[in-house]
Amino acid sequence: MLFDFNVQTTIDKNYDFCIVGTGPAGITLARELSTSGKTILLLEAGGLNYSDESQDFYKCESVGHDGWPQYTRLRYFGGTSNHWSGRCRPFDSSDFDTQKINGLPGWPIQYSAVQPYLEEAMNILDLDIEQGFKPINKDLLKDHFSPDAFSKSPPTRFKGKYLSEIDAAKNIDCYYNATATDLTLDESHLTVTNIEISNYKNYKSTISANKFILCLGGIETPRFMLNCNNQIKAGIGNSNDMVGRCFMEHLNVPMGSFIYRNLDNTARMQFYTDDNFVSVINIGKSNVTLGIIKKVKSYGRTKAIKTFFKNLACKMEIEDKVQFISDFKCPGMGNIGTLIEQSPNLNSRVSLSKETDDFGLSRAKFDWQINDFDKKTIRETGMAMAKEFSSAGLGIVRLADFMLDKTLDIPFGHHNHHMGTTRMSENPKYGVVDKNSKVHELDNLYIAGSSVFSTGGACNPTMPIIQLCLRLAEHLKAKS
Amino acid sequence: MPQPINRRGFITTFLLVTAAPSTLANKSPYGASLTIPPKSMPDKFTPIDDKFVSVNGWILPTKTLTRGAE
Repeated sequence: MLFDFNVQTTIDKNYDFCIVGTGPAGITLARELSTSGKTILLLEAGGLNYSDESQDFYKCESVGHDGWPQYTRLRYFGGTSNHWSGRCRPFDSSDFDTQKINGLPGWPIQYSAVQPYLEEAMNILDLDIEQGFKPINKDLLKDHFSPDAFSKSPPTRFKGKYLSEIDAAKNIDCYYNATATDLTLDESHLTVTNIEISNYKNYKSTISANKFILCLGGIETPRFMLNCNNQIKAGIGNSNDMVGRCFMEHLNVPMGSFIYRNLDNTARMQFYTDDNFVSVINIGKSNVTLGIIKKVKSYGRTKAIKTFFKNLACKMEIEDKVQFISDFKCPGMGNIGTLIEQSPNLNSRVSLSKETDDFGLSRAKFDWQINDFDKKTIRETGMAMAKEFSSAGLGIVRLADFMLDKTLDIPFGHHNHHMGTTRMSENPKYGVVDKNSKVHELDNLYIAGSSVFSTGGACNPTMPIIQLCLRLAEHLKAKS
Repeated sequence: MPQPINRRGFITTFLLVTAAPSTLANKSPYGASLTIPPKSMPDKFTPIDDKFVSVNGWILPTKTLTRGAE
Protein backbone atom coordinates (compact mmCIF):
# COMPACT_ATOMS: atom_id res chain seq x y z
CA MET A 1 0.00 0.00 0.00
CA LEU A 2 1.12 3.56 -0.70
CA PHE A 3 0.76 6.29 1.90
CA ASP A 4 1.58 9.98 1.77
CA PHE A 5 3.35 10.76 5.05
CA ASN A 6 2.26 14.38 4.69
CA VAL A 7 -1.29 13.08 5.17
CA GLN A 8 -1.06 9.70 6.91
CA THR A 9 1.24 10.33 9.86
CA THR A 10 0.33 7.53 12.24
CA ILE A 11 2.47 4.42 11.89
CA ASP A 12 2.09 2.07 14.82
CA LYS A 13 3.29 -1.27 13.48
CA ASN A 14 6.49 -3.14 14.08
CA TYR A 15 7.86 -4.31 10.75
CA ASP A 16 10.06 -7.25 9.86
CA PHE A 17 12.04 -5.13 7.43
CA CYS A 18 12.46 -1.39 7.04
CA ILE A 19 13.89 -0.41 3.65
CA VAL A 20 15.01 3.18 3.21
CA GLY A 21 14.94 4.38 -0.39
CA THR A 22 12.85 3.47 -3.44
CA GLY A 23 15.47 3.42 -6.17
CA PRO A 24 16.28 0.18 -8.04
CA ALA A 25 17.88 -1.30 -4.90
CA GLY A 26 15.05 -0.50 -2.48
CA ILE A 27 12.25 -1.57 -4.81
CA THR A 28 14.03 -4.79 -5.78
CA LEU A 29 14.55 -5.69 -2.13
CA ALA A 30 10.96 -4.85 -1.18
CA ARG A 31 9.56 -6.98 -3.99
CA GLU A 32 11.82 -9.92 -3.23
CA LEU A 33 11.34 -9.82 0.53
CA SER A 34 7.57 -9.50 0.16
CA THR A 35 7.45 -13.02 -1.27
CA SER A 36 8.42 -14.30 2.17
CA GLY A 37 5.20 -12.94 3.64
CA LYS A 38 7.13 -10.71 6.03
CA THR A 39 5.94 -7.16 6.71
CA ILE A 40 7.91 -4.43 5.00
CA LEU A 41 8.11 -0.71 5.51
CA LEU A 42 9.42 1.05 2.41
CA LEU A 43 10.37 4.69 2.83
CA GLU A 44 10.77 7.35 0.16
CA ALA A 45 11.99 10.80 1.17
CA GLY A 46 10.57 12.51 -1.91
CA GLY A 47 7.11 12.36 -3.39
CA LEU A 48 5.71 10.39 -6.28
CA ASN A 49 6.94 13.02 -8.73
CA TYR A 50 9.89 15.37 -9.07
CA SER A 51 9.81 18.57 -7.05
CA ASP A 52 12.42 21.27 -6.51
CA GLU A 53 11.57 21.20 -2.80
CA SER A 54 12.65 17.58 -2.52
CA GLN A 55 15.61 17.85 -4.88
CA ASP A 56 17.05 20.67 -2.77
CA PHE A 57 17.99 18.10 -0.11
CA TYR A 58 20.59 16.75 -2.53
CA LYS A 59 22.60 19.97 -2.52
CA CYS A 60 26.18 19.26 -1.52
CA GLU A 61 29.20 21.24 -0.59
CA SER A 62 31.63 20.23 -3.31
CA VAL A 63 35.29 20.72 -2.42
CA GLY A 64 37.07 18.34 -4.79
CA HIS A 65 36.42 17.57 -8.40
CA ASP A 66 32.77 18.39 -9.04
CA GLY A 67 30.48 15.55 -10.07
CA TRP A 68 27.25 17.60 -10.04
CA PRO A 69 25.78 15.50 -7.20
CA GLN A 70 22.68 17.66 -6.83
CA TYR A 71 21.50 16.94 -10.35
CA THR A 72 22.80 13.49 -11.17
CA ARG A 73 20.48 11.82 -8.65
CA LEU A 74 16.70 12.09 -8.38
CA ARG A 75 14.88 12.29 -5.07
CA TYR A 76 11.41 10.84 -5.66
CA PHE A 77 9.78 7.44 -6.04
CA GLY A 78 11.92 5.29 -8.33
CA GLY A 79 15.02 7.34 -7.52
CA THR A 80 17.67 7.76 -10.15
CA SER A 81 16.06 5.07 -12.32
CA ASN A 82 13.81 7.94 -13.43
CA HIS A 83 16.60 9.23 -15.66
CA TRP A 84 19.18 6.46 -16.10
CA SER A 85 20.40 5.57 -19.59
CA GLY A 86 19.71 1.83 -19.44
CA ARG A 87 23.15 0.60 -20.41
CA CYS A 88 23.81 -2.74 -18.70
CA ARG A 89 26.85 -4.92 -18.39
CA PRO A 90 27.47 -7.28 -15.47
CA PHE A 91 30.74 -7.48 -13.61
CA ASP A 92 33.35 -9.86 -15.00
CA SER A 93 34.75 -12.63 -12.85
CA SER A 94 38.05 -10.73 -12.80
CA ASP A 95 36.34 -7.78 -11.10
CA PHE A 96 36.25 -9.90 -7.96
CA ASP A 97 39.99 -10.50 -7.85
CA THR A 98 41.14 -9.83 -4.33
CA GLN A 99 44.47 -8.13 -5.00
CA LYS A 100 45.01 -4.91 -3.08
CA ILE A 101 44.75 -1.51 -4.74
CA ASN A 102 46.11 1.53 -2.91
CA GLY A 103 46.52 -0.71 0.15
CA LEU A 104 42.84 -1.65 0.14
CA PRO A 105 41.53 -5.17 -0.49
CA GLY A 106 39.09 -5.90 -3.28
CA TRP A 107 35.81 -7.77 -3.06
CA PRO A 108 35.48 -10.39 -0.32
CA ILE A 109 33.13 -12.38 -2.55
CA GLN A 110 33.67 -14.13 -5.86
CA TYR A 111 31.84 -13.81 -9.16
CA SER A 112 29.98 -17.03 -8.33
CA ALA A 113 28.19 -15.14 -5.56
CA VAL A 114 26.37 -12.84 -8.00
CA GLN A 115 26.28 -14.87 -11.21
CA PRO A 116 23.19 -16.92 -10.18
CA TYR A 117 21.13 -13.72 -10.06
CA LEU A 118 22.00 -12.52 -13.55
CA GLU A 119 18.93 -13.84 -15.35
CA GLU A 120 16.49 -12.50 -12.77
CA ALA A 121 18.24 -9.13 -12.83
CA MET A 122 17.91 -9.10 -16.62
CA ASN A 123 14.18 -9.71 -16.25
CA ILE A 124 13.85 -6.85 -13.80
CA LEU A 125 15.71 -4.53 -16.17
CA ASP A 126 13.72 -5.73 -19.21
CA LEU A 127 16.76 -7.09 -21.02
CA ASP A 128 16.57 -9.70 -23.75
CA ILE A 129 17.87 -12.87 -22.08
CA GLU A 130 18.26 -14.79 -25.34
CA GLN A 131 20.28 -12.00 -26.90
CA GLY A 132 22.41 -11.56 -23.78
CA PHE A 133 25.39 -9.25 -23.79
CA LYS A 134 26.64 -9.20 -27.35
CA PRO A 135 29.78 -7.48 -28.64
CA ILE A 136 28.72 -4.33 -30.47
CA ASN A 137 31.49 -4.41 -33.07
CA LYS A 138 33.95 -6.87 -34.55
CA ASP A 139 37.13 -7.87 -32.80
CA LEU A 140 39.19 -5.32 -34.71
CA LEU A 141 42.13 -4.79 -32.38
CA LYS A 142 44.89 -7.35 -32.00
CA ASP A 143 45.87 -6.90 -28.37
CA HIS A 144 44.82 -5.34 -25.09
CA PHE A 145 41.19 -4.67 -26.05
CA SER A 146 38.08 -6.70 -26.80
CA PRO A 147 34.84 -5.44 -28.30
CA ASP A 148 32.60 -4.16 -25.54
CA ALA A 149 29.52 -6.26 -24.87
CA PHE A 150 26.46 -4.82 -23.24
CA SER A 151 22.70 -4.89 -23.34
CA LYS A 152 20.36 -1.94 -23.35
CA SER A 153 17.42 -1.64 -21.00
CA PRO A 154 14.45 0.35 -22.43
CA PRO A 155 15.45 1.88 -19.81
CA THR A 156 13.32 0.47 -17.06
CA ARG A 157 11.73 3.19 -14.94
CA PHE A 158 11.11 1.54 -11.60
CA LYS A 159 8.30 3.90 -10.76
CA GLY A 160 6.43 3.16 -13.97
CA LYS A 161 7.01 -0.56 -13.77
CA TYR A 162 6.53 -1.23 -10.07
CA LEU A 163 4.48 1.54 -8.45
CA SER A 164 1.15 -0.25 -8.90
CA GLU A 165 2.67 -3.54 -7.71
CA ILE A 166 3.98 -1.89 -4.54
CA ASP A 167 0.60 -0.24 -4.02
CA ALA A 168 -1.17 -3.57 -4.36
CA ALA A 169 1.21 -5.52 -2.10
CA LYS A 170 -0.53 -6.33 1.16
CA ASN A 171 2.63 -6.74 3.19
CA ILE A 172 4.43 -3.63 1.90
CA ASP A 173 3.63 -0.27 3.45
CA CYS A 174 5.31 2.37 1.34
CA TYR A 175 5.39 5.87 2.81
CA TYR A 176 6.52 8.71 0.55
CA ASN A 177 7.36 12.26 1.67
CA ALA A 178 9.00 10.46 4.59
CA THR A 179 12.62 11.43 5.12
CA ALA A 180 14.69 9.19 7.39
CA THR A 181 16.41 11.48 9.87
CA ASP A 182 17.89 9.20 12.52
CA LEU A 183 18.42 5.65 13.73
CA THR A 184 18.19 4.66 17.37
CA LEU A 185 20.46 1.97 18.80
CA ASP A 186 19.85 -0.17 21.86
CA GLU A 187 21.96 0.29 24.99
CA SER A 188 24.70 -2.01 23.71
CA HIS A 189 24.94 0.01 20.49
CA LEU A 190 24.85 -3.26 18.59
CA THR A 191 21.26 -3.25 17.36
CA VAL A 192 19.13 -0.68 15.58
CA THR A 193 15.75 -0.47 17.27
CA ASN A 194 13.97 2.42 15.60
CA ILE A 195 14.07 4.76 12.67
CA GLU A 196 12.87 8.34 12.88
CA ILE A 197 11.19 9.88 9.87
CA SER A 198 9.97 13.38 9.15
CA ASN A 199 7.68 14.98 6.60
CA TYR A 200 8.13 18.42 5.08
CA LYS A 201 5.98 19.96 7.78
CA ASN A 202 8.52 18.63 10.27
CA TYR A 203 6.06 16.12 11.70
CA LYS A 204 8.10 13.21 13.02
CA SER A 205 7.35 9.58 13.67
CA THR A 206 9.43 6.76 15.14
CA ILE A 207 9.02 3.26 13.79
CA SER A 208 10.50 -0.03 14.91
CA ALA A 209 11.61 -2.94 12.74
CA ASN A 210 13.63 -6.11 13.11
CA LYS A 211 16.03 -5.35 10.28
CA PHE A 212 16.91 -2.13 8.51
CA ILE A 213 18.30 -1.79 4.99
CA LEU A 214 19.70 1.49 3.67
CA CYS A 215 19.30 1.93 -0.08
CA LEU A 216 20.13 5.60 -0.47
CA GLY A 217 22.94 5.58 -3.01
CA GLY A 218 26.63 6.34 -2.83
CA ILE A 219 26.30 9.83 -1.37
CA GLU A 220 23.14 9.78 0.77
CA THR A 221 23.86 6.44 2.48
CA PRO A 222 27.11 7.64 4.11
CA ARG A 223 25.58 11.06 4.72
CA PHE A 224 22.68 9.48 6.61
CA MET A 225 24.97 7.18 8.64
CA LEU A 226 27.24 10.08 9.59
CA ASN A 227 24.22 12.19 10.54
CA CYS A 228 23.05 9.44 12.92
CA ASN A 229 25.40 10.84 15.55
CA ASN A 230 23.24 11.36 18.62
CA GLN A 231 24.46 8.19 20.32
CA ILE A 232 27.80 7.72 18.58
CA LYS A 233 29.56 10.93 17.71
CA ALA A 234 31.38 9.55 14.66
CA GLY A 235 28.14 8.22 13.20
CA ILE A 236 26.68 4.75 12.92
CA GLY A 237 28.94 1.99 11.63
CA ASN A 238 31.91 4.33 11.52
CA SER A 239 34.25 3.22 14.30
CA ASN A 240 36.99 2.67 11.71
CA ASP A 241 36.36 6.01 10.00
CA MET A 242 35.48 4.24 6.75
CA VAL A 243 31.93 5.54 6.21
CA GLY A 244 32.02 7.88 3.21
CA ARG A 245 35.58 7.04 2.20
CA CYS A 246 36.62 5.58 -1.14
CA PHE A 247 34.07 7.44 -3.24
CA MET A 248 34.49 6.16 -6.78
CA GLU A 249 33.05 7.25 -10.10
CA HIS A 250 33.68 6.11 -13.63
CA LEU A 251 35.98 8.60 -15.28
CA ASN A 252 35.00 10.22 -18.53
CA VAL A 253 38.27 11.51 -19.94
CA PRO A 254 38.42 13.44 -23.23
CA MET A 255 41.66 11.69 -24.09
CA GLY A 256 41.82 12.70 -27.71
CA SER A 257 40.42 12.41 -31.19
CA PHE A 258 40.93 10.16 -34.18
CA ILE A 259 40.40 9.79 -37.89
CA TYR A 260 39.29 6.64 -39.64
CA ARG A 261 41.37 5.39 -42.51
CA ASN A 262 38.37 3.89 -44.26
CA LEU A 263 35.68 6.49 -44.64
CA ASP A 264 33.20 3.97 -45.99
CA ASN A 265 32.98 2.47 -42.54
CA THR A 266 32.70 5.06 -39.82
CA ALA A 267 30.52 3.11 -37.42
CA ARG A 268 30.90 3.79 -33.73
CA MET A 269 33.34 1.40 -32.05
CA GLN A 270 33.51 0.39 -28.44
CA PHE A 271 36.28 -1.55 -26.76
CA TYR A 272 36.95 -2.98 -23.33
CA THR A 273 40.41 -3.53 -21.90
CA ASP A 274 41.26 -7.20 -21.58
CA ASP A 275 42.18 -8.77 -18.27
CA ASN A 276 45.75 -9.65 -19.21
CA PHE A 277 46.64 -6.09 -20.21
CA VAL A 278 45.07 -4.64 -17.05
CA SER A 279 46.81 -7.17 -14.87
CA VAL A 280 50.28 -6.94 -16.44
CA ILE A 281 50.38 -3.13 -16.50
CA ASN A 282 48.60 -2.96 -13.12
CA ILE A 283 45.90 -0.47 -13.98
CA GLY A 284 42.11 -0.24 -13.75
CA LYS A 285 39.69 -1.37 -16.42
CA SER A 286 38.41 0.84 -19.20
CA ASN A 287 35.67 1.08 -21.72
CA VAL A 288 36.72 3.18 -24.71
CA THR A 289 34.33 4.50 -27.34
CA LEU A 290 35.33 5.94 -30.69
CA GLY A 291 32.56 7.86 -32.38
CA ILE A 292 32.34 10.22 -35.32
CA ILE A 293 30.64 13.53 -34.70
CA LYS A 294 27.37 13.03 -36.52
CA LYS A 295 26.77 16.51 -37.85
CA VAL A 296 29.98 16.55 -39.92
CA LYS A 297 29.27 15.66 -43.53
CA SER A 298 31.46 12.93 -44.90
CA TYR A 299 32.38 14.61 -48.17
CA GLY A 300 33.96 17.47 -46.30
CA ARG A 301 36.22 15.06 -44.46
CA THR A 302 37.19 12.81 -47.29
CA LYS A 303 39.62 15.07 -49.07
CA ALA A 304 41.37 16.21 -45.93
CA ILE A 305 41.80 12.71 -44.57
CA LYS A 306 42.95 11.22 -47.86
CA THR A 307 45.48 14.02 -48.13
CA PHE A 308 46.60 13.33 -44.60
CA PHE A 309 47.27 9.66 -45.24
CA LYS A 310 48.77 10.41 -48.64
CA ASN A 311 51.28 12.71 -47.03
CA LEU A 312 52.22 10.09 -44.51
CA ALA A 313 53.14 7.85 -47.38
CA CYS A 314 54.67 10.37 -49.78
CA LYS A 315 58.31 11.11 -50.29
CA MET A 316 58.10 14.43 -48.52
CA GLU A 317 61.16 15.14 -46.40
CA ILE A 318 60.81 14.16 -42.78
CA GLU A 319 60.79 17.70 -41.40
CA ASP A 320 58.09 18.68 -43.87
CA LYS A 321 56.15 15.55 -43.05
CA VAL A 322 56.32 16.32 -39.34
CA GLN A 323 55.23 19.88 -40.05
CA PHE A 324 52.35 18.71 -42.21
CA ILE A 325 51.12 16.28 -39.57
CA SER A 326 51.47 18.89 -36.86
CA ASP A 327 49.39 21.35 -38.81
CA PHE A 328 46.71 18.85 -39.79
CA LYS A 329 43.28 19.92 -38.69
CA CYS A 330 40.17 18.08 -39.74
CA PRO A 331 36.76 19.23 -38.54
CA GLY A 332 35.40 15.74 -38.94
CA MET A 333 37.66 14.01 -36.46
CA GLY A 334 35.88 11.68 -34.11
CA ASN A 335 36.10 11.89 -30.37
CA ILE A 336 37.24 9.27 -27.92
CA GLY A 337 34.98 8.77 -24.93
CA THR A 338 35.81 6.67 -21.91
CA LEU A 339 34.27 4.96 -18.92
CA ILE A 340 37.32 4.27 -16.79
CA GLU A 341 37.49 2.42 -13.50
CA GLN A 342 38.55 4.59 -10.58
CA SER A 343 40.47 2.84 -7.84
CA PRO A 344 39.30 2.94 -4.21
CA ASN A 345 41.11 5.80 -2.52
CA LEU A 346 40.68 6.89 1.10
CA ASN A 347 41.04 10.57 0.20
CA SER A 348 38.09 10.56 -2.16
CA ARG A 349 35.19 10.85 0.22
CA VAL A 350 31.80 11.99 1.38
CA SER A 351 31.73 13.61 4.80
CA LEU A 352 29.47 16.11 6.55
CA SER A 353 29.35 19.79 5.69
CA LYS A 354 28.72 22.56 8.19
CA GLU A 355 25.77 23.53 6.00
CA THR A 356 22.43 21.98 6.95
CA ASP A 357 19.18 21.24 5.15
CA ASP A 358 15.66 22.14 6.28
CA PHE A 359 15.60 19.15 8.65
CA GLY A 360 18.73 20.44 10.35
CA LEU A 361 20.77 17.55 8.95
CA SER A 362 24.27 18.26 7.76
CA ARG A 363 24.55 18.29 4.01
CA ALA A 364 27.08 16.08 2.27
CA LYS A 365 30.56 17.42 1.78
CA PHE A 366 31.62 15.93 -1.52
CA ASP A 367 35.34 15.58 -2.13
CA TRP A 368 35.98 13.58 -5.28
CA GLN A 369 39.67 12.87 -5.91
CA ILE A 370 41.61 10.70 -8.29
CA ASN A 371 45.15 9.55 -7.58
CA ASP A 372 48.32 8.43 -9.37
CA PHE A 373 46.95 4.92 -9.96
CA ASP A 374 43.98 6.40 -11.82
CA LYS A 375 46.21 8.73 -13.83
CA LYS A 376 48.31 5.75 -14.84
CA THR A 377 45.14 3.90 -15.89
CA ILE A 378 44.08 6.83 -18.06
CA ARG A 379 47.43 7.37 -19.76
CA GLU A 380 48.30 3.70 -20.29
CA THR A 381 44.87 2.95 -21.69
CA GLY A 382 44.91 5.91 -24.05
CA MET A 383 48.37 5.13 -25.36
CA ALA A 384 47.55 1.44 -25.84
CA MET A 385 44.38 2.36 -27.70
CA ALA A 386 46.24 4.81 -29.94
CA LYS A 387 48.85 2.21 -30.85
CA GLU A 388 46.36 -0.58 -31.37
CA PHE A 389 44.08 1.57 -33.49
CA SER A 390 46.99 2.44 -35.73
CA SER A 391 48.45 -1.08 -35.84
CA ALA A 392 45.08 -2.51 -36.83
CA GLY A 393 44.95 -0.10 -39.77
CA LEU A 394 41.76 1.53 -38.54
CA GLY A 395 43.14 5.05 -38.55
CA ILE A 396 45.18 7.34 -36.38
CA VAL A 397 44.62 8.69 -32.90
CA ARG A 398 45.66 12.09 -31.66
CA LEU A 399 46.09 12.16 -27.90
CA ALA A 400 45.50 15.29 -25.88
CA ASP A 401 48.56 17.01 -24.42
CA PHE A 402 47.80 15.81 -20.88
CA MET A 403 47.95 12.21 -22.09
CA LEU A 404 51.61 12.62 -23.04
CA ASP A 405 52.81 15.18 -20.55
CA LYS A 406 52.62 13.86 -16.98
CA THR A 407 53.10 17.32 -15.55
CA LEU A 408 49.69 18.42 -16.84
CA ASP A 409 46.44 17.92 -14.95
CA ILE A 410 44.01 15.44 -16.45
CA PRO A 411 40.53 16.84 -17.06
CA PHE A 412 37.78 14.32 -16.42
CA GLY A 413 34.04 14.13 -16.14
CA HIS A 414 31.59 11.84 -14.40
CA HIS A 415 29.11 9.14 -15.38
CA ASN A 416 26.73 9.59 -12.44
CA HIS A 417 27.91 6.33 -10.89
CA HIS A 418 28.44 6.86 -7.17
CA MET A 419 30.23 3.90 -5.65
CA GLY A 420 32.33 2.62 -2.79
CA THR A 421 31.42 4.83 0.18
CA THR A 422 30.29 1.93 2.39
CA ARG A 423 32.51 -0.61 0.73
CA MET A 424 32.33 -4.35 1.29
CA SER A 425 35.28 -5.90 3.10
CA GLU A 426 35.91 -8.93 5.25
CA ASN A 427 38.05 -6.78 7.52
CA PRO A 428 36.20 -3.85 9.24
CA LYS A 429 39.40 -1.86 8.99
CA TYR A 430 38.96 -1.58 5.22
CA GLY A 431 35.22 -1.40 4.78
CA VAL A 432 31.80 -0.75 6.27
CA VAL A 433 29.80 -3.88 5.39
CA ASP A 434 30.69 -7.56 5.49
CA LYS A 435 30.29 -10.02 2.63
CA ASN A 436 26.55 -10.21 3.34
CA SER A 437 26.14 -6.43 3.15
CA LYS A 438 25.61 -6.19 6.92
CA VAL A 439 27.24 -3.24 8.66
CA HIS A 440 30.18 -4.72 10.55
CA GLU A 441 29.45 -3.43 14.00
CA LEU A 442 25.67 -3.78 14.01
CA ASP A 443 23.49 -6.89 14.14
CA ASN A 444 20.58 -5.78 11.97
CA LEU A 445 21.65 -2.92 9.70
CA TYR A 446 22.28 -3.71 6.04
CA ILE A 447 23.23 -1.62 3.02
CA ALA A 448 22.28 -2.20 -0.60
CA GLY A 449 23.32 -0.32 -3.71
CA SER A 450 26.56 0.75 -5.33
CA SER A 451 27.93 2.23 -2.11
CA VAL A 452 28.90 -1.35 -1.13
CA PHE A 453 31.06 -1.85 -4.23
CA SER A 454 34.61 -2.71 -3.20
CA THR A 455 35.80 -1.88 -6.70
CA GLY A 456 33.76 -0.48 -9.55
CA GLY A 457 34.96 -2.24 -12.70
CA ALA A 458 34.19 -0.50 -15.95
CA CYS A 459 30.57 -1.49 -16.32
CA ASN A 460 27.49 0.56 -15.54
CA PRO A 461 26.46 -0.20 -11.96
CA THR A 462 22.72 -0.83 -12.18
CA MET A 463 23.00 -4.46 -13.27
CA PRO A 464 25.41 -5.42 -10.46
CA ILE A 465 23.30 -3.44 -7.98
CA ILE A 466 20.26 -5.55 -8.85
CA GLN A 467 22.25 -8.81 -8.68
CA LEU A 468 23.63 -7.90 -5.25
CA CYS A 469 20.14 -6.93 -4.02
CA LEU A 470 18.70 -10.25 -5.12
CA ARG A 471 21.54 -11.98 -3.30
CA LEU A 472 20.91 -9.91 -0.16
CA ALA A 473 17.19 -10.62 -0.29
CA GLU A 474 17.87 -14.35 -0.43
CA HIS A 475 20.25 -14.06 2.51
CA LEU A 476 17.73 -12.09 4.57
CA LYS A 477 14.90 -14.48 3.76
CA ALA A 478 17.06 -17.41 4.81
CA LYS A 479 17.93 -15.73 8.09
CA SER A 480 14.38 -14.77 9.07
CA MET B 1 67.26 28.67 -25.31
CA PRO B 2 67.22 25.36 -27.21
CA GLN B 3 69.93 24.94 -29.80
CA PRO B 4 68.69 25.50 -33.38
CA ILE B 5 68.73 22.28 -35.33
CA ASN B 6 69.63 22.01 -38.98
CA ARG B 7 68.16 19.51 -41.38
CA ARG B 8 71.11 17.12 -41.31
CA GLY B 9 71.19 17.17 -37.53
CA PHE B 10 67.52 16.39 -37.26
CA ILE B 11 67.61 13.48 -39.70
CA THR B 12 70.70 12.06 -38.01
CA THR B 13 69.00 12.27 -34.64
CA PHE B 14 65.75 10.83 -35.94
CA LEU B 15 67.39 7.90 -37.68
CA LEU B 16 69.42 7.16 -34.58
CA VAL B 17 66.24 6.98 -32.56
CA THR B 18 64.33 4.81 -34.97
CA ALA B 19 67.24 2.63 -35.89
CA ALA B 20 68.32 1.97 -32.35
CA PRO B 21 66.29 -1.16 -31.53
CA SER B 22 67.37 -3.09 -34.58
CA THR B 23 70.93 -1.90 -35.07
CA LEU B 24 72.07 -1.19 -31.56
CA ALA B 25 70.30 -3.96 -29.68
CA ASN B 26 73.37 -6.14 -29.46
CA LYS B 27 75.56 -3.34 -28.18
CA SER B 28 73.22 -1.73 -25.76
CA PRO B 29 70.28 -2.82 -23.66
CA TYR B 30 66.70 -1.75 -24.27
CA GLY B 31 67.03 1.84 -23.17
CA ALA B 32 69.55 2.84 -25.81
CA SER B 33 67.10 4.69 -27.98
CA LEU B 34 65.98 6.84 -25.07
CA THR B 35 69.42 8.26 -24.43
CA ILE B 36 68.94 11.00 -27.03
CA PRO B 37 68.57 14.24 -25.10
CA PRO B 38 64.98 15.46 -25.46
CA LYS B 39 66.17 18.99 -26.19
CA SER B 40 67.57 17.82 -29.51
CA MET B 41 64.04 16.98 -30.71
CA PRO B 42 61.53 19.45 -32.10
CA ASP B 43 58.80 20.06 -29.51
CA LYS B 44 56.13 18.45 -31.65
CA PHE B 45 58.07 15.23 -32.16
CA THR B 46 58.38 12.72 -29.32
CA PRO B 47 59.53 9.12 -29.53
CA ILE B 48 57.12 6.86 -27.66
CA ASP B 49 58.94 3.56 -27.97
CA ASP B 50 60.71 1.50 -30.59
CA LYS B 51 57.67 1.40 -32.85
CA PHE B 52 55.77 4.62 -32.33
CA VAL B 53 56.33 8.33 -32.33
CA SER B 54 54.11 11.20 -31.40
CA VAL B 55 53.90 14.13 -33.78
CA ASN B 56 51.94 16.87 -32.08
CA GLY B 57 49.88 14.22 -30.34
CA TRP B 58 49.31 12.01 -33.39
CA ILE B 59 50.49 8.54 -32.45
CA LEU B 60 52.15 7.18 -35.57
CA PRO B 61 54.10 4.05 -36.37
CA THR B 62 57.69 5.16 -36.86
CA LYS B 63 57.83 3.42 -40.20
CA THR B 64 55.16 5.72 -41.63
CA LEU B 65 57.61 8.57 -41.33
CA THR B 66 60.62 6.70 -42.58
CA ARG B 67 58.94 4.56 -45.20
CA GLY B 68 55.43 5.94 -45.61
CA ALA B 69 52.05 4.57 -44.65
CA GLU B 70 51.15 1.14 -45.89
